Amino acid sequence: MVNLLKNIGQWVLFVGVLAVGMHFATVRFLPDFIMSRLHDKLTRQVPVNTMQYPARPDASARAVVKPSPDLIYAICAYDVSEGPVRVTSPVPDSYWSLSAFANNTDNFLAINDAQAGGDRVDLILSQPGRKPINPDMLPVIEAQTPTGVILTRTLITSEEDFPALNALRQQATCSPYVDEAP
Amino acid sequence: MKILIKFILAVLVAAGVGAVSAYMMIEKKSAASAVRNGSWAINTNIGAQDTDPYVKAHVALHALLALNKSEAIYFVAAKDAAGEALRGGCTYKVSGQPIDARWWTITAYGADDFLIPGGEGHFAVSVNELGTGNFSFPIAPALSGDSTGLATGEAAHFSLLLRTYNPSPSLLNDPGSAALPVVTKENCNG
Repeated sequence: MVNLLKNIGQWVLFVGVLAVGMHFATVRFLPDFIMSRLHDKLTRQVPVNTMQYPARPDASARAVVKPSPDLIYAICAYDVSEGPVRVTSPVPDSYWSLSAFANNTDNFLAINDAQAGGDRVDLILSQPGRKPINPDMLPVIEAQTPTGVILTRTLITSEEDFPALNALRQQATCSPYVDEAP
Repeated sequence: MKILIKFILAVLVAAGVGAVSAYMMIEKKSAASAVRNGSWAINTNIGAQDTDPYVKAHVALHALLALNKSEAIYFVAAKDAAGEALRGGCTYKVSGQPIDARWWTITAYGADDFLIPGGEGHFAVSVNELGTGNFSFPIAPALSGDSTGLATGEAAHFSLLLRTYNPSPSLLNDPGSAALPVVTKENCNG
C-alpha cells in the first residue's frame, strides 16, 4: 500500500477504488444505520420491547419522516435476540393496522382491522429461525431481523371519536414473552 | 509522514465522493424505478424484501416505516401539472375524482419531509372532508380556520403525499393509469 500511495496516478486509482467501496457500503448500510438510530432514539425514552404512544403528529413531530396527521401511532422498538416478544392491541371499528419493520426497513408484517378477525390482536414475534414454545397457542410471526420496530396506525375518524380511539391505542402493548413450558 | 497524510487524504476524498455519489444515485435510481402518473410518482416496491438496495435506501431517507403495497400505496408529487416545482409562495388548486381505495388522504410536507410549521389545522385533507364525489381544494400559504385545504406556511418548497390505504386491485395493479388529483398553479407571490 505504501508503494501505491507514492505515485499520483496510483493514488487516484486507490481513491477511486475506495470511493466505489464507500458508495456501495453507504447504499447497503444506510437503511440499517437509520433504523438503528431510530431504535436507539426510542429506547432512550423507555426500555426495549415497550410500547410508546407519541403525541398526535404536528409540525413539532420529528422522530420519523412524513408523519401522518390523520393517524395516531403506537410504536415499539423490539429486540427478540434474548427471547420472543408478545404484541397485543385492541382493534377499533375504523381503519387500523399493526405492522413490523426489520432493521433494514423491510415491512415484514402488516395486519389491518379487517384482517384481524376480531376486536383484539395478540401475537408473538419470535427470533429468526427459532420457534417459541408458545403455551398460549398464539399466532407466531418470525421477525426478519433480531431488532426492528413495531407500529400501530389508528385512523382519527373525527375529532369526536379521537378520545375513544386514543384510549384504545394506549392499550396496545409490547413485552417480553416467557416461552418456558409451564 | 507524507505517506500517512496521503493515506488520510485518500480516505477522506473517497468517503466524500462515495457518500455524495451514493446519495445522488439513491435519488436518481429511486426516481427511475417509480411509475409516473401526471404530477405523481409511485414506487410500489416500498417495504418489499426483494427491493433494489437504492430504493431501500430511499425509503430509509424519505419514507421510513412506510407500509408495503398490499396495505398502502403512496403517491408523491413535487411538481404541479405544468411540471414546475411546488412552491410555498404560490396558491394551487387540487381537483380530482374519488380514489379507489378504502381510505385516502393528501398531506403537504416541507423540504425536510416533516409537517410544515404554520400549517396547523391544514396539514392534510382526506376523503373524510372531501366526500366520495369529485372534489377540489386550495393549497395556499395560509387558510382560514374552518376551510378545507392545505396550508404551506413559510415553506419555500413543498411536496404532496397521497396515501391510499387498502387500494383496490385495479389501483394496486395499475397505479400509473389511475385518475389522480391534478395540481394546478393559480398565482404566486413574487
